[in-house]
Amino acid sequence: MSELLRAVHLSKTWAPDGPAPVHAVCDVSLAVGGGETVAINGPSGSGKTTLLSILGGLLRPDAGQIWLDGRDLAAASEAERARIRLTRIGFVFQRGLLLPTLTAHENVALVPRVAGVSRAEAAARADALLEQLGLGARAALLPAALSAGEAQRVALARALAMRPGLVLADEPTAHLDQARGGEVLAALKALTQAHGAGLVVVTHDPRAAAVADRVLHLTDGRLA
Amino acid sequence: MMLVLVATGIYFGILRAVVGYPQTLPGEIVVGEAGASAALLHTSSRLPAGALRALRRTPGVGSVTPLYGRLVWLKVHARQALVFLVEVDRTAPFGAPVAVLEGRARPQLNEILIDRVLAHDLWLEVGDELPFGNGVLRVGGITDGGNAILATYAFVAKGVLMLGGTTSPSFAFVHPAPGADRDALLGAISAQTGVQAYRREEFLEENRAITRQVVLPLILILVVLSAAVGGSIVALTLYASTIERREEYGLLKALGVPRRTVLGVVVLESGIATGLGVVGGILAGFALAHGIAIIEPRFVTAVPAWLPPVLAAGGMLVGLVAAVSPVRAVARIDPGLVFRV
Repeated sequence: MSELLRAVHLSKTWAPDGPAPVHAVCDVSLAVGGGETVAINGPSGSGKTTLLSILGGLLRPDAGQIWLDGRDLAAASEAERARIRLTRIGFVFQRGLLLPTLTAHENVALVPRVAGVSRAEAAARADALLEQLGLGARAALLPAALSAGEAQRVALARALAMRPGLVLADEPTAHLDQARGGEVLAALKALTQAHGAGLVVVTHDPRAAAVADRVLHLTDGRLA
Repeated sequence: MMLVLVATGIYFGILRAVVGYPQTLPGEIVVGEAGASAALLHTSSRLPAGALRALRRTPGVGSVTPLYGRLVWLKVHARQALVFLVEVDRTAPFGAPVAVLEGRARPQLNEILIDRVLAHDLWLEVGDELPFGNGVLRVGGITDGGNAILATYAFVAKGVLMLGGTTSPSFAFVHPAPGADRDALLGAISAQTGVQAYRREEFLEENRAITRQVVLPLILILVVLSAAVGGSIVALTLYASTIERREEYGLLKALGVPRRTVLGVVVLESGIATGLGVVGGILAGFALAHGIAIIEPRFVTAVPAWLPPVLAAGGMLVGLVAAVSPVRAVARIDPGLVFRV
Protein backbone atom coordinates (compact mmCIF):
# COMPACT_ATOMS: atom_id res chain seq x y z
CA MET A 1 0.00 0.00 0.00
CA SER A 2 1.68 3.21 -1.12
CA GLU A 3 1.69 6.15 1.26
CA LEU A 4 -0.68 8.88 0.14
CA LEU A 5 -0.81 11.34 3.01
CA ARG A 6 1.73 12.02 5.70
CA ALA A 7 1.12 14.49 8.48
CA VAL A 8 4.07 15.32 10.70
CA HIS A 9 3.94 17.00 14.12
CA LEU A 10 0.76 18.95 13.46
CA SER A 11 -0.29 21.48 16.08
CA LYS A 12 -3.07 24.02 16.20
CA THR A 13 -4.03 26.29 19.07
CA TRP A 14 -7.13 28.45 19.09
CA ALA A 15 -6.85 31.91 20.65
CA PRO A 16 -3.16 31.40 21.44
CA ASP A 17 -2.82 34.91 22.86
CA GLY A 18 -6.11 34.82 24.77
CA PRO A 19 -6.60 34.14 28.44
CA ALA A 20 -7.51 30.52 27.77
CA PRO A 21 -5.78 29.12 24.67
CA VAL A 22 -7.25 25.88 23.36
CA HIS A 23 -4.75 23.33 22.10
CA ALA A 24 -7.02 21.64 19.57
CA VAL A 25 -4.32 19.55 17.89
CA CYS A 26 -1.05 18.74 19.65
CA ASP A 27 1.87 17.19 17.84
CA VAL A 28 -0.19 14.81 15.73
CA SER A 29 1.55 12.65 13.15
CA LEU A 30 -0.18 10.12 10.95
CA ALA A 31 0.02 8.52 7.53
CA VAL A 32 -2.68 7.17 5.23
CA GLY A 33 -2.06 4.80 2.36
CA GLY A 34 -3.95 4.52 -0.93
CA GLY A 35 -7.03 2.31 -0.47
CA GLU A 36 -6.66 2.44 3.31
CA THR A 37 -9.49 3.40 5.63
CA VAL A 38 -8.56 5.19 8.85
CA ALA A 39 -11.19 5.99 11.47
CA ILE A 40 -10.53 8.72 13.99
CA ASN A 41 -12.77 8.80 17.02
CA GLY A 42 -12.78 10.65 20.24
CA PRO A 43 -15.05 12.63 22.52
CA SER A 44 -16.58 15.95 21.54
CA GLY A 45 -14.02 18.74 21.72
CA SER A 46 -11.11 16.37 21.29
CA GLY A 47 -9.96 18.17 18.13
CA LYS A 48 -11.26 15.72 15.50
CA THR A 49 -12.83 18.41 13.30
CA THR A 50 -9.81 20.68 13.59
CA LEU A 51 -7.55 17.81 12.58
CA LEU A 52 -9.78 16.99 9.62
CA SER A 53 -9.77 20.65 8.56
CA ILE A 54 -6.00 20.69 8.63
CA LEU A 55 -5.69 17.41 6.73
CA GLY A 56 -8.11 18.78 4.11
CA GLY A 57 -6.21 22.02 3.63
CA LEU A 58 -9.06 24.10 5.01
CA LEU A 59 -7.00 25.23 7.94
CA ARG A 60 -3.32 25.97 8.20
CA PRO A 61 -1.60 24.37 11.22
CA ASP A 62 0.51 26.45 13.58
CA ALA A 63 3.26 23.88 13.21
CA GLY A 64 3.93 20.73 11.26
CA GLN A 65 3.68 19.54 7.69
CA ILE A 66 1.08 17.68 5.63
CA TRP A 67 2.44 15.94 2.58
CA LEU A 68 -0.04 14.96 -0.11
CA ASP A 69 1.21 13.81 -3.50
CA GLY A 70 4.62 15.17 -2.58
CA ARG A 71 3.35 18.69 -1.79
CA ASP A 72 3.26 20.30 1.64
CA LEU A 73 -0.30 21.52 2.18
CA ALA A 74 0.73 23.50 5.24
CA ALA A 75 3.11 25.62 3.20
CA ALA A 76 0.88 26.01 0.14
CA SER A 77 -0.86 29.27 -0.70
CA GLU A 78 -4.60 29.58 -0.32
CA ALA A 79 -5.09 29.27 -4.07
CA GLU A 80 -2.86 26.16 -4.20
CA ARG A 81 -4.72 24.56 -1.31
CA ALA A 82 -8.04 25.28 -3.05
CA ARG A 83 -6.71 23.65 -6.22
CA ILE A 84 -5.55 20.59 -4.26
CA ARG A 85 -8.94 20.33 -2.51
CA LEU A 86 -10.69 20.59 -5.84
CA THR A 87 -8.65 17.94 -7.61
CA ARG A 88 -7.16 15.60 -5.01
CA ILE A 89 -9.40 15.59 -1.94
CA GLY A 90 -13.03 14.54 -1.66
CA PHE A 91 -15.15 15.72 1.26
CA VAL A 92 -18.19 14.14 2.87
CA PHE A 93 -19.86 16.28 5.51
CA GLN A 94 -22.26 15.46 8.33
CA ARG A 95 -25.45 16.53 6.57
CA GLY A 96 -24.43 15.97 2.98
CA LEU A 97 -24.37 19.69 2.29
CA LEU A 98 -25.64 19.74 -1.26
CA LEU A 99 -26.36 22.93 -3.15
CA PRO A 100 -30.14 23.21 -2.87
CA THR A 101 -30.77 24.75 -6.28
CA LEU A 102 -28.90 22.05 -8.21
CA THR A 103 -30.18 18.56 -8.91
CA ALA A 104 -28.38 15.53 -7.51
CA HIS A 105 -26.70 15.02 -10.88
CA GLU A 106 -25.64 18.66 -11.12
CA ASN A 107 -24.27 18.59 -7.58
CA VAL A 108 -22.05 15.65 -8.51
CA ALA A 109 -20.97 17.10 -11.85
CA LEU A 110 -20.24 20.55 -10.39
CA VAL A 111 -16.78 19.85 -9.00
CA PRO A 112 -15.34 18.27 -12.17
CA ARG A 113 -16.88 21.07 -14.24
CA VAL A 114 -15.21 23.71 -12.06
CA ALA A 115 -11.95 21.75 -12.30
CA GLY A 116 -12.07 21.99 -16.07
CA VAL A 117 -13.40 18.54 -16.97
CA SER A 118 -15.57 18.64 -20.09
CA ARG A 119 -19.32 18.82 -19.67
CA ALA A 120 -19.82 15.38 -21.26
CA GLU A 121 -17.12 13.73 -19.13
CA ALA A 122 -18.43 15.35 -15.93
CA ALA A 123 -21.95 14.18 -16.75
CA ALA A 124 -20.71 10.67 -17.49
CA ARG A 125 -18.87 10.52 -14.15
CA ALA A 126 -21.96 11.74 -12.31
CA ASP A 127 -24.16 9.20 -14.10
CA ALA A 128 -21.81 6.35 -13.29
CA LEU A 129 -21.35 7.26 -9.62
CA LEU A 130 -25.04 7.84 -8.98
CA GLU A 131 -25.81 4.54 -10.69
CA GLN A 132 -23.25 2.71 -8.52
CA LEU A 133 -24.85 4.23 -5.44
CA GLY A 134 -28.34 3.20 -6.53
CA LEU A 135 -29.45 6.75 -7.21
CA GLY A 136 -29.77 6.61 -11.00
CA ALA A 137 -33.49 7.20 -10.82
CA ARG A 138 -33.08 10.09 -8.37
CA ALA A 139 -30.49 12.02 -10.36
CA ALA A 140 -32.85 14.71 -11.60
CA LEU A 141 -34.24 15.52 -8.16
CA LEU A 142 -33.36 18.53 -6.08
CA PRO A 143 -31.82 17.83 -2.66
CA ALA A 144 -35.06 18.81 -0.94
CA ALA A 145 -36.73 15.80 -2.58
CA LEU A 146 -34.08 13.36 -1.36
CA SER A 147 -34.04 11.49 1.92
CA ALA A 148 -31.14 12.12 4.32
CA GLY A 149 -29.53 8.83 3.30
CA GLU A 150 -29.89 9.61 -0.40
CA ALA A 151 -28.46 13.09 0.09
CA GLN A 152 -25.48 11.62 1.89
CA ARG A 153 -24.88 9.15 -0.95
CA VAL A 154 -25.06 12.02 -3.46
CA ALA A 155 -22.46 13.82 -1.34
CA LEU A 156 -20.34 10.67 -1.48
CA ALA A 157 -20.67 10.62 -5.28
CA ARG A 158 -19.62 14.26 -5.36
CA ALA A 159 -16.59 13.49 -3.21
CA LEU A 160 -15.46 10.86 -5.70
CA ALA A 161 -16.31 12.70 -8.91
CA MET A 162 -12.76 14.02 -9.33
CA ARG A 163 -11.31 10.57 -8.54
CA PRO A 164 -9.40 12.03 -5.59
CA GLY A 165 -6.51 10.38 -3.85
CA LEU A 166 -7.94 11.14 -0.44
CA VAL A 167 -11.50 11.24 0.91
CA LEU A 168 -12.19 12.96 4.24
CA ALA A 169 -15.51 12.22 5.91
CA ASP A 170 -16.80 14.08 8.93
CA GLU A 171 -19.40 12.11 10.89
CA PRO A 172 -21.02 10.85 7.68
CA THR A 173 -23.60 8.78 9.55
CA ALA A 174 -24.44 11.29 12.28
CA HIS A 175 -27.87 12.15 10.88
CA LEU A 176 -28.81 8.72 9.56
CA ASP A 177 -30.64 5.84 11.15
CA GLN A 178 -28.93 2.52 11.72
CA ALA A 179 -29.80 0.98 8.38
CA ARG A 180 -29.02 4.06 6.25
CA GLY A 181 -25.85 4.74 8.22
CA GLY A 182 -24.65 1.23 7.56
CA GLU A 183 -25.37 1.56 3.85
CA VAL A 184 -23.47 4.84 3.61
CA LEU A 185 -20.44 3.47 5.46
CA ALA A 186 -20.37 0.39 3.29
CA ALA A 187 -20.65 2.48 0.12
CA LEU A 188 -18.00 4.88 1.38
CA LYS A 189 -15.56 2.08 2.04
CA ALA A 190 -16.32 0.18 -1.15
CA LEU A 191 -16.11 3.12 -3.51
CA THR A 192 -12.98 4.68 -2.06
CA GLN A 193 -11.25 1.32 -2.21
CA ALA A 194 -12.46 0.81 -5.76
CA HIS A 195 -10.95 4.15 -6.68
CA GLY A 196 -7.76 3.40 -4.76
CA ALA A 197 -8.32 6.42 -2.56
CA GLY A 198 -7.37 6.75 1.08
CA LEU A 199 -10.27 7.37 3.44
CA VAL A 200 -10.19 9.20 6.76
CA VAL A 201 -13.44 9.04 8.71
CA VAL A 202 -14.01 11.12 11.80
CA THR A 203 -16.87 9.49 13.64
CA HIS A 204 -18.52 8.42 16.86
CA ASP A 205 -20.16 5.53 15.04
CA PRO A 206 -18.77 2.22 16.31
CA ARG A 207 -19.62 0.62 12.96
CA ALA A 208 -16.99 2.85 11.33
CA ALA A 209 -14.40 1.08 13.41
CA ALA A 210 -15.62 -2.18 11.99
CA VAL A 211 -14.98 -1.11 8.40
CA ALA A 212 -11.72 0.76 9.14
CA ASP A 213 -8.28 -0.69 8.59
CA ARG A 214 -7.02 1.38 11.53
CA VAL A 215 -8.77 3.21 14.32
CA LEU A 216 -7.07 6.21 15.95
CA HIS A 217 -8.29 7.79 19.18
CA LEU A 218 -7.94 11.50 19.66
CA THR A 219 -8.08 12.92 23.16
CA ASP A 220 -7.36 16.54 23.99
CA GLY A 221 -5.81 16.99 20.57
CA ARG A 222 -3.40 14.07 20.91
CA LEU A 223 -3.54 10.73 19.15
CA ALA A 224 -3.55 7.81 21.45
CA MET B 1 -36.54 52.68 -10.48
CA MET B 2 -40.27 52.96 -10.94
CA LEU B 3 -40.47 56.28 -9.10
CA VAL B 4 -37.48 57.71 -10.93
CA LEU B 5 -38.96 56.76 -14.29
CA VAL B 6 -42.36 58.21 -13.46
CA ALA B 7 -40.94 61.39 -11.92
CA THR B 8 -38.56 61.97 -14.79
CA GLY B 9 -41.26 61.09 -17.30
CA ILE B 10 -43.59 63.60 -15.67
CA TYR B 11 -40.87 66.23 -15.77
CA PHE B 12 -40.32 65.76 -19.48
CA GLY B 13 -44.06 65.54 -19.97
CA ILE B 14 -44.47 68.90 -18.25
CA LEU B 15 -41.64 70.41 -20.28
CA ARG B 16 -43.32 69.24 -23.46
CA ALA B 17 -46.77 70.25 -22.34
CA VAL B 18 -45.87 73.82 -21.39
CA VAL B 19 -44.72 74.55 -24.93
CA GLY B 20 -47.24 72.30 -26.65
CA TYR B 21 -49.42 75.25 -27.59
CA PRO B 22 -46.83 78.09 -27.78
CA GLN B 23 -44.74 76.19 -30.31
CA THR B 24 -47.69 76.05 -32.71
CA LEU B 25 -47.68 79.85 -32.91
CA PRO B 26 -45.71 80.79 -36.02
CA GLY B 27 -43.20 83.62 -36.08
CA GLU B 28 -39.44 83.76 -35.89
CA ILE B 29 -39.48 86.74 -33.54
CA VAL B 30 -41.88 87.12 -30.65
CA VAL B 31 -42.48 90.61 -29.30
CA GLY B 32 -43.84 91.24 -25.82
CA GLU B 33 -44.09 94.13 -23.40
CA ALA B 34 -40.71 95.24 -22.05
CA GLY B 35 -40.20 93.92 -18.52
CA ALA B 36 -43.02 91.39 -18.72
CA SER B 37 -42.51 87.66 -18.87
CA ALA B 38 -42.66 85.91 -22.21
CA ALA B 39 -44.18 82.85 -20.58
CA LEU B 40 -47.83 82.85 -21.63
CA LEU B 41 -49.11 81.32 -18.40
CA HIS B 42 -47.77 83.92 -16.05
CA THR B 43 -47.42 86.99 -18.15
CA SER B 44 -48.82 90.45 -17.75
CA SER B 45 -47.54 91.44 -21.17
CA ARG B 46 -49.59 94.10 -22.97
CA LEU B 47 -48.04 95.73 -26.00
CA PRO B 48 -48.11 99.52 -25.78
CA ALA B 49 -50.51 101.45 -28.00
CA GLY B 50 -49.04 101.92 -31.44
CA ALA B 51 -46.58 99.06 -31.03
CA LEU B 52 -48.18 96.97 -33.78
CA ARG B 53 -48.07 99.89 -36.22
CA ALA B 54 -44.44 100.57 -35.35
CA LEU B 55 -43.56 96.92 -35.84
CA ARG B 56 -45.18 96.77 -39.26
CA ARG B 57 -43.19 99.85 -40.32
CA THR B 58 -39.87 98.45 -39.16
CA PRO B 59 -37.62 97.73 -42.14
CA GLY B 60 -37.14 93.99 -42.63
CA VAL B 61 -40.49 92.99 -41.12
CA GLY B 62 -42.48 90.70 -43.38
CA SER B 63 -45.63 90.12 -41.36
CA VAL B 64 -46.90 90.81 -37.85
CA THR B 65 -49.64 88.76 -36.21
CA PRO B 66 -50.97 89.82 -32.81
CA LEU B 67 -51.99 87.39 -30.10
CA TYR B 68 -54.76 88.62 -27.83
CA GLY B 69 -54.76 86.66 -24.64
CA ARG B 70 -55.52 86.97 -20.96
CA LEU B 71 -55.12 84.87 -17.84
CA VAL B 72 -58.47 84.30 -16.11
CA TRP B 73 -59.90 82.08 -13.39
CA LEU B 74 -62.89 80.10 -14.57
CA LYS B 75 -65.26 78.91 -11.84
CA VAL B 76 -68.03 76.35 -12.21
CA HIS B 77 -69.43 73.46 -10.18
CA ALA B 78 -67.68 74.96 -7.14
CA ARG B 79 -64.35 74.29 -8.82
CA GLN B 80 -61.98 76.70 -10.41
CA ALA B 81 -59.09 76.63 -12.84
CA LEU B 82 -56.55 79.01 -14.26
CA VAL B 83 -56.94 79.48 -18.00
CA PHE B 84 -55.10 81.49 -20.62
CA LEU B 85 -57.83 82.66 -22.91
CA VAL B 86 -56.80 83.20 -26.50
CA GLU B 87 -58.83 85.04 -29.06
CA VAL B 88 -59.12 83.13 -32.29
CA ASP B 89 -60.23 84.69 -35.54
CA ARG B 90 -63.03 82.61 -37.06
CA THR B 91 -61.44 82.90 -40.47
CA ALA B 92 -57.70 83.01 -39.82
CA PRO B 93 -56.00 79.93 -38.34
CA PHE B 94 -53.51 81.85 -36.14
CA GLY B 95 -53.74 80.94 -32.47
CA ALA B 96 -56.12 78.04 -33.06
CA PRO B 97 -56.10 74.98 -30.77
CA VAL B 98 -53.48 72.29 -31.40
CA ALA B 99 -56.22 69.72 -31.98
CA VAL B 100 -59.96 69.48 -31.59
CA LEU B 101 -61.36 66.32 -30.04
CA GLU B 102 -65.01 67.19 -30.06
CA GLY B 103 -67.29 69.99 -31.19
CA ARG B 104 -66.32 73.08 -33.11
CA ALA B 105 -62.78 73.96 -34.29
CA ARG B 106 -63.44 77.74 -34.17
CA PRO B 107 -65.47 79.31 -31.39
CA GLN B 108 -68.64 81.29 -32.05
CA LEU B 109 -69.01 84.63 -30.30
CA ASN B 110 -70.67 83.14 -27.20
CA GLU B 111 -68.58 80.01 -27.10
CA ILE B 112 -65.41 78.76 -25.50
CA LEU B 113 -63.28 75.84 -26.60
CA ILE B 114 -61.65 74.17 -23.62
CA ASP B 115 -58.87 71.64 -23.24
CA ARG B 116 -59.80 68.10 -22.26
CA VAL B 117 -57.89 68.55 -18.98
CA LEU B 118 -60.00 71.57 -18.09
CA ALA B 119 -63.12 69.65 -19.09
CA HIS B 120 -61.99 66.89 -16.72
CA ASP B 121 -61.17 69.33 -13.91
CA LEU B 122 -64.39 71.34 -14.14
CA TRP B 123 -66.64 68.44 -15.17
CA LEU B 124 -67.63 70.14 -18.40
CA GLU B 125 -68.91 68.77 -21.68
CA VAL B 126 -69.77 70.28 -25.02
CA GLY B 127 -72.97 72.30 -24.58
CA ASP B 128 -72.38 73.12 -20.90
CA GLU B 129 -72.28 76.75 -19.87
CA LEU B 130 -69.84 78.49 -17.60
CA PRO B 131 -69.90 81.97 -16.14
CA PHE B 132 -67.58 84.53 -17.68
CA GLY B 133 -67.67 88.19 -16.73
CA ASN B 134 -71.27 89.23 -16.55
CA GLY B 135 -72.46 86.53 -18.88
CA VAL B 136 -71.92 82.92 -19.76
CA LEU B 137 -69.93 81.09 -22.38
CA ARG B 138 -71.13 77.83 -23.87
CA VAL B 139 -68.58 75.04 -24.32
CA GLY B 140 -68.39 74.75 -28.08
CA GLY B 141 -65.62 72.18 -28.31
CA ILE B 142 -63.07 70.09 -26.45
CA THR B 143 -59.48 70.52 -27.56
CA ASP B 144 -56.22 68.73 -26.99
CA GLY B 145 -52.61 69.92 -26.64
CA GLY B 146 -53.51 72.92 -24.50
CA ASN B 147 -52.67 71.40 -21.14
CA ALA B 148 -49.81 73.28 -19.52
CA ILE B 149 -50.13 71.63 -16.07
CA LEU B 150 -50.70 74.74 -13.92
CA ALA B 151 -53.18 76.14 -16.41
CA THR B 152 -54.72 75.29 -19.74
CA TYR B 153 -55.33 77.19 -22.93
CA ALA B 154 -58.91 77.97 -23.92
CA PHE B 155 -60.18 79.73 -26.98
CA VAL B 156 -62.80 82.35 -27.52
CA ALA B 157 -63.97 84.27 -30.55
CA LYS B 158 -62.36 87.52 -31.56
CA GLY B 159 -63.91 90.39 -29.63
CA VAL B 160 -64.78 88.48 -26.47
CA LEU B 161 -61.71 89.69 -24.61
CA MET B 162 -62.16 93.19 -25.97
CA LEU B 163 -65.61 93.21 -24.39
CA GLY B 164 -63.87 92.33 -21.16
CA GLY B 165 -61.46 95.24 -21.49
CA THR B 166 -58.48 93.60 -23.19
CA THR B 167 -57.73 95.91 -26.06
CA SER B 168 -53.98 95.43 -26.44
CA PRO B 169 -52.37 92.28 -27.78
CA SER B 170 -50.20 90.34 -25.38
CA PHE B 171 -47.64 89.44 -27.99
CA ALA B 172 -46.89 89.95 -31.62
CA PHE B 173 -45.40 87.22 -33.80
CA VAL B 174 -43.12 88.57 -36.50
CA HIS B 175 -41.89 86.97 -39.70
CA PRO B 176 -38.90 88.74 -41.23
CA ALA B 177 -39.21 89.77 -44.84
CA PRO B 178 -37.41 87.53 -47.33
CA GLY B 179 -33.69 88.24 -47.19
CA ALA B 180 -33.91 90.19 -43.94
CA ASP B 181 -31.37 89.41 -41.24
CA ARG B 182 -33.20 88.09 -38.20
CA ASP B 183 -30.67 89.22 -35.63
CA ALA B 184 -30.50 92.71 -37.07
CA LEU B 185 -34.29 92.85 -37.05
CA LEU B 186 -34.36 91.59 -33.46
CA GLY B 187 -32.08 94.45 -32.47
CA ALA B 188 -34.14 97.01 -34.33
CA ILE B 189 -37.37 95.85 -32.65
CA SER B 190 -35.85 95.70 -29.18
CA ALA B 191 -34.73 99.32 -29.64
CA GLN B 192 -38.36 100.39 -29.92
CA THR B 193 -40.01 101.85 -26.85
CA GLY B 194 -41.88 99.59 -24.45
CA VAL B 195 -41.28 96.28 -26.19
CA GLN B 196 -38.90 93.37 -25.93
CA ALA B 197 -38.12 90.98 -28.77
CA TYR B 198 -37.27 87.29 -28.39
CA ARG B 199 -35.98 84.78 -30.84
CA ARG B 200 -38.47 81.95 -31.20
CA GLU B 201 -36.20 79.57 -29.24
CA GLU B 202 -35.88 82.11 -26.43
CA PHE B 203 -39.65 82.52 -26.30
CA LEU B 204 -40.15 78.74 -25.97
CA GLU B 205 -37.38 78.50 -23.39
CA GLU B 206 -39.02 81.29 -21.36
CA ASN B 207 -42.15 79.16 -21.33
CA ARG B 208 -40.15 76.19 -20.08
CA ALA B 209 -38.10 78.16 -17.55
CA ILE B 210 -40.57 78.10 -14.68
CA THR B 211 -40.87 74.35 -15.01
CA ARG B 212 -37.13 73.94 -14.97
CA GLN B 213 -36.78 76.25 -11.96
CA VAL B 214 -39.56 74.74 -9.87
CA VAL B 215 -40.00 71.16 -10.97
CA LEU B 216 -36.46 70.10 -11.84
CA PRO B 217 -35.07 70.49 -8.28
CA LEU B 218 -37.98 68.46 -6.94
CA ILE B 219 -37.35 65.78 -9.52
CA LEU B 220 -33.64 65.76 -8.70
CA ILE B 221 -34.41 65.38 -4.99
CA LEU B 222 -36.77 62.53 -5.80
CA VAL B 223 -34.19 60.86 -8.04
CA VAL B 224 -31.46 61.14 -5.39
CA LEU B 225 -33.79 59.89 -2.64
CA SER B 226 -35.02 57.03 -4.82
CA ALA B 227 -31.46 56.05 -5.71
CA ALA B 228 -30.43 56.18 -2.04
CA VAL B 229 -33.46 54.29 -0.75
CA GLY B 230 -33.48 51.87 -3.67
CA GLY B 231 -29.74 51.32 -3.41
CA SER B 232 -30.01 50.67 0.33
CA ILE B 233 -32.84 48.21 -0.20
CA VAL B 234 -30.90 46.43 -2.94
CA ALA B 235 -27.77 46.36 -0.76
CA LEU B 236 -29.64 45.03 2.26
CA THR B 237 -31.49 42.45 0.17
CA LEU B 238 -28.29 41.23 -1.46
CA TYR B 239 -26.49 41.18 1.87
CA ALA B 240 -29.32 39.31 3.62
CA SER B 241 -29.50 36.85 0.74
CA THR B 242 -25.76 36.30 0.90
CA ILE B 243 -25.71 35.79 4.65
CA GLU B 244 -28.62 33.38 4.33
CA ARG B 245 -26.57 31.38 1.84
CA ARG B 246 -23.17 31.63 3.50
CA GLU B 247 -23.25 27.88 4.10
CA GLU B 248 -23.45 27.32 0.32
CA TYR B 249 -20.61 29.73 -0.39
CA GLY B 250 -18.59 28.10 2.39
CA LEU B 251 -19.27 24.72 0.80
CA LEU B 252 -18.04 25.92 -2.58
CA LYS B 253 -14.88 27.25 -0.98
CA ALA B 254 -14.37 24.02 0.97
CA LEU B 255 -14.75 21.94 -2.17
CA GLY B 256 -11.94 23.97 -3.69
CA VAL B 257 -13.88 26.20 -6.03
CA PRO B 258 -11.49 29.12 -6.62
CA ARG B 259 -12.16 32.23 -4.59
CA ARG B 260 -12.47 34.29 -7.78
CA THR B 261 -15.15 31.92 -9.09
CA VAL B 262 -17.10 32.06 -5.83
CA LEU B 263 -17.00 35.86 -5.77
CA GLY B 264 -17.94 35.85 -9.46
CA VAL B 265 -21.02 33.81 -8.57
CA VAL B 266 -22.00 36.42 -5.97
CA VAL B 267 -21.51 39.26 -8.45
CA LEU B 268 -23.41 37.37 -11.15
CA GLU B 269 -26.30 36.59 -8.82
CA SER B 270 -26.34 40.19 -7.64
CA GLY B 271 -26.32 41.32 -11.26
CA ILE B 272 -29.19 39.02 -12.19
CA ALA B 273 -31.22 40.10 -9.14
CA THR B 274 -30.53 43.77 -9.86
CA GLY B 275 -31.24 43.30 -13.58
CA LEU B 276 -34.59 41.69 -12.84
CA GLY B 277 -35.35 44.52 -10.42
CA VAL B 278 -34.36 47.11 -13.01
CA VAL B 279 -36.51 45.56 -15.76
CA GLY B 280 -39.41 45.09 -13.34
CA GLY B 281 -39.03 48.64 -12.06
CA ILE B 282 -38.99 50.12 -15.56
CA LEU B 283 -42.02 48.11 -16.65
CA ALA B 284 -43.83 49.04 -13.44
CA GLY B 285 -42.86 52.67 -14.08
CA PHE B 286 -44.45 52.61 -17.53
CA ALA B 287 -47.56 50.98 -16.08
CA LEU B 288 -47.74 53.57 -13.29
CA ALA B 289 -47.25 56.43 -15.76
CA HIS B 290 -50.09 55.03 -17.87
CA GLY B 291 -52.29 54.73 -14.78
CA ILE B 292 -51.53 58.29 -13.68
CA ALA B 293 -52.46 59.61 -17.12
CA ILE B 294 -55.82 57.87 -16.82
CA ILE B 295 -56.55 59.07 -13.30
CA GLU B 296 -55.13 62.58 -13.74
CA PRO B 297 -54.86 63.58 -17.42
CA ARG B 298 -52.97 66.74 -16.43
CA PHE B 299 -49.87 64.71 -15.63
CA VAL B 300 -48.86 63.42 -19.00
CA THR B 301 -45.57 61.61 -18.98
CA ALA B 302 -43.08 61.76 -21.79
CA VAL B 303 -40.35 59.17 -21.35
CA PRO B 304 -37.47 60.01 -23.70
CA ALA B 305 -35.98 57.04 -25.55
CA TRP B 306 -32.68 57.51 -23.73
CA LEU B 307 -34.23 57.37 -20.25
CA PRO B 308 -34.85 53.59 -19.83
CA PRO B 309 -31.29 52.65 -20.88
CA VAL B 310 -29.84 55.36 -18.65
CA LEU B 311 -32.00 54.21 -15.73
CA ALA B 312 -31.03 50.60 -16.43
CA ALA B 313 -27.35 51.54 -16.44
CA GLY B 314 -27.79 53.60 -13.27
CA GLY B 315 -29.70 50.78 -11.59
CA MET B 316 -27.03 48.26 -12.53
CA LEU B 317 -24.37 50.61 -11.18
CA VAL B 318 -26.25 50.92 -7.90
CA GLY B 319 -26.57 47.11 -7.86
CA LEU B 320 -22.86 46.76 -8.48
CA VAL B 321 -22.04 49.10 -5.62
CA ALA B 322 -24.58 47.30 -3.45
CA ALA B 323 -22.87 43.99 -4.27
CA VAL B 324 -19.60 45.15 -2.70
CA SER B 325 -20.83 44.42 0.79
CA PRO B 326 -21.99 40.82 0.08
CA VAL B 327 -18.85 40.14 -1.93
CA ARG B 328 -16.73 41.21 1.03
CA ALA B 329 -18.88 39.09 3.33
CA VAL B 330 -18.39 36.03 1.11
CA ALA B 331 -14.67 36.70 0.81
CA ARG B 332 -14.48 36.50 4.60
CA ILE B 333 -16.38 33.20 4.88
CA ASP B 334 -14.20 30.51 6.38
CA PRO B 335 -14.47 27.31 4.33
CA GLY B 336 -14.03 25.38 7.57
CA LEU B 337 -17.58 26.51 8.31
CA VAL B 338 -18.77 23.36 6.54
CA PHE B 339 -17.55 21.23 9.43
CA ARG B 340 -19.53 23.26 11.92
CA VAL B 341 -23.00 23.11 10.33
